[in-house]
Amino acid sequence: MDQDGNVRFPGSGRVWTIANGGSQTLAEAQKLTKRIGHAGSPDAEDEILLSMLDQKNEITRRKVSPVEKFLAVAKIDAHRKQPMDEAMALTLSRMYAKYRAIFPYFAAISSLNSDDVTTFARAAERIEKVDEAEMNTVLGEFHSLIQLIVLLKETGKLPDEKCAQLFSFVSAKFAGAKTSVDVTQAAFESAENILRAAGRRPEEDADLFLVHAFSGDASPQEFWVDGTLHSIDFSVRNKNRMKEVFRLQHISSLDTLLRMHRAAQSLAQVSAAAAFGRDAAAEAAAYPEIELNASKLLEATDDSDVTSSYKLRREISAESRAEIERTLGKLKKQFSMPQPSKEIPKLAAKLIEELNPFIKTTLVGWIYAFYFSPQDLAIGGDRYFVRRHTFYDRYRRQYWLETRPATDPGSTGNYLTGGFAQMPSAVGYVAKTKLEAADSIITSQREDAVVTAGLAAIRSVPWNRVSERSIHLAALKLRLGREFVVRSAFDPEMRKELGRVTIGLLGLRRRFDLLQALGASDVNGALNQLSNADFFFLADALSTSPVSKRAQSILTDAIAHETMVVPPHQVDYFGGTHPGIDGCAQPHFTRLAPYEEYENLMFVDPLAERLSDILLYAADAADRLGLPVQGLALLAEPLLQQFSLQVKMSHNTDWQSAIEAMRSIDLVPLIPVLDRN
Amino acid sequence: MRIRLFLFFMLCADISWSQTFKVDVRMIEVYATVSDSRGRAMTNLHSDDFHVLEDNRLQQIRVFEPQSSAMTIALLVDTTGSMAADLPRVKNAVARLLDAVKPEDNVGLFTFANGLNRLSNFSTDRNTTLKAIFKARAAGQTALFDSVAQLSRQISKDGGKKAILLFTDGDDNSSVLSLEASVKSVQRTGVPIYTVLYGSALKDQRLSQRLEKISVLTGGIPFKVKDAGGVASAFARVGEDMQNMYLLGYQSDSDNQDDWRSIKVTLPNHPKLKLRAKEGYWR
Repeated sequence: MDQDGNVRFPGSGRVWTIANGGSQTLAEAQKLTKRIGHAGSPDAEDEILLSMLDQKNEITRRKVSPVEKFLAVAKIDAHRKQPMDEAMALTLSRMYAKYRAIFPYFAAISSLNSDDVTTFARAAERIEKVDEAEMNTVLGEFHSLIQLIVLLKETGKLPDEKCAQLFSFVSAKFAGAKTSVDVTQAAFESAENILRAAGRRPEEDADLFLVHAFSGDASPQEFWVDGTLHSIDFSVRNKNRMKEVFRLQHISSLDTLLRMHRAAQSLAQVSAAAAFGRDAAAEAAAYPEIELNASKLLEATDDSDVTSSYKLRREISAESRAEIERTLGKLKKQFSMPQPSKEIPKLAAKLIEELNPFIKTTLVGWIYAFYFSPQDLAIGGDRYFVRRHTFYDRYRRQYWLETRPATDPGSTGNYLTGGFAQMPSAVGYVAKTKLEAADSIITSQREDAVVTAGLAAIRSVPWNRVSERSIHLAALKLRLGREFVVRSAFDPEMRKELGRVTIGLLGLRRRFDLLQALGASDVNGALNQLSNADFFFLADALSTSPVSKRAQSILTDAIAHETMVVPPHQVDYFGGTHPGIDGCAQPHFTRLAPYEEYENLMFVDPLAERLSDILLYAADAADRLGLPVQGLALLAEPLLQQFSLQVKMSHNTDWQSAIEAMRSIDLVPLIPVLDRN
Repeated sequence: MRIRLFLFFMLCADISWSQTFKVDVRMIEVYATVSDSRGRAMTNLHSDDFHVLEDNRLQQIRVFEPQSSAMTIALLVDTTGSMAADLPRVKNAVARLLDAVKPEDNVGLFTFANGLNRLSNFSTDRNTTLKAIFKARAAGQTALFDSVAQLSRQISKDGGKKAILLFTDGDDNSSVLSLEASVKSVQRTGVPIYTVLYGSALKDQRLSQRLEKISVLTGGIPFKVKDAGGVASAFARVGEDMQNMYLLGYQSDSDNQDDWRSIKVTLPNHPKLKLRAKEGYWR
């Protein structure tokens, strides 16, 4: 809804009068787009909404309501700087049934337009026709490339507009791929293009570039906490963490693969070059480059005594150094001949095709390296964990799935399935178990969803982007929110305003209790009704309310000062992730429905996402202690472990107990962790 | 026992300052079990028969003991919800087992459900362990594979002959690791797992096969125990089995900065013998 309380229809109201029907094909969506101009817009928004409520389309054996589509598209629209146009809104509404699992990608890149989305749909339709044997590889590459764009945006290496261009480039490359070689070329060219756009210099090592992009500059920091001097460099630790994930999972370097691909591509042109009188021998100098880099390729090998599943063996065997060496042997033979042979480009193309499983594993590995730690049992204890990722459901032929932890029937052990659109949530589930039992975050089933959501929020923060003063700004806003409540106990006008701004922020009963407590000047009773997220939004509401002048204080001056030096979105990193309820997997604050609205839902995940802002409590505690961002980054997970030990939820929707445990988190006992290597 | 020797050489000149050199030399212990093609223990090998490589570099064996007496035993007891009925009997079995342990053996008590819990530290004080086991309560799911991987890693850092004795009645249903990944993790640490199937679990064929796999692949023995008396005899067998381990010690001077250093033990002159030893250690 907009500020006047009107429904903000993505695109326009009239789009939603024709955005029904069950067809999922791109052609159908394009036909409908042409009809937008002829669609009449009902005067009353209620009429549109009511017409949506009346319909339900059955798509892939699932009933999809137009309201469901409308809400999903509206969530994407809410993340955009500019409202989406009619064509984009209509295309997305038509894509919803089939592609809803990957909608968070569209929310993450807010500059996408209808052409970009259409190109994406073309790529998706093309990928669905890929041969079964290659499906997992191609989907793995595609998802990894899209997520790589999103992560490079999050880490500040790509502006949003550039992300939209790259998104379109990747989609167009995959949409236009006709053969297996084309698909491999699409993956390599997209990877090269993304890195170039993110600022990688031509001769710069691709892996070092990505490590640096994800971790930032090394900046050792010394600070005093609790009377002791500490020195940490989170960036260096982060770099080592990512390298270690690659080492433990036996993943080939991206730079090695890119070099091999470039050299193989130039070999593929040897004959053509010879035909046009160019110096084929110079082109053939690429061979040693391939040979050198081929020796650096890593492949996971199956153990003779510990048998793996058929599916895993298939994934492992797809990466074959032996095959590459055989092709290299044949190439070498060709180069020993006096004249360039026609076989050379064919062999080079075969080599490129053979690199396909390697580049898929490496690209997937980079996404895992961003989120996982070598201390996670899944990474440190299962060297096939990255390779186990299954991007589609082979039996039900569903190609666009949410990221989820999965287990094979009749077996145990987790691996991830689906794309990367909800990656933080899946990581949060798996990464609770560490190599060391003492570091693991063990919970009962009642608290599991909340702890998982908390870990998802922590793992999705690009810590190199969090500015030093964001902690202070978040803490100041919380104090202002509390001050608003305290002053309302003694100022009837402010109380009236508090009553107004808490509509929709608090559940009815809680709002009543809050106002009753304030009426009785019971300040503690009033403060106990609210969470830190509530205080945060109260502070925002106060700054734009008519009583803001009455609330003028040193605190408001301090916030005004801080917002001049800290971009306001900086505090978003402490806001948790809400892929399910907000359609976006990036951490940020968003005005969500009160906790009470989620407690009676069938599944607990929406409530857990609503409670995923544990970092807001952590930031408040860090500010009181004078802990810098690097320290908070290191202590965030131990703090979640502390929370998991303290929280005693009576059932899995007992959000009051979860908030109470978050309020009591204490960083002081965790300080020794800062000095742990 | 792994010994960390800090050698301090104080060079004191006749001038007013001194300089300290610190050299970190580590004694790495590797326990190896050797058997013939029929699985019989080979107890007549000599130091020269073994080659120990750390990060592919041949190491000089400085300590060689064909047999050693004291053991470090981690008792790992399933306390998941499904154990509610059998747990009292398992507690009695553990009490019996503690009677059978030699006085010099170190025993630590661990339980697992959703995760691994340490109930008592390794010690020779049986009363502490006994008190701890009687406090165990059954609740939660079964993260068996994660727990054995975590426990083997944890105890592999300490010196001495080590083994895990696992009591369980239920199959894994909440581990992050698969059976294969868990076994591989344990194999890297070289800690044998002796599994004890007890009570109603004896009827579960799949569990029985899985536990057998864990035991056999990690160098332990699977036991199926019908009554508490069987526990003591099973444990006597564990002790006997562990007696046949060779202790190989060498000083590592590796400058490898990785957390994991790989070890490979071979018997170059006895290619037909089967050797079991840890595959590395965490720095």
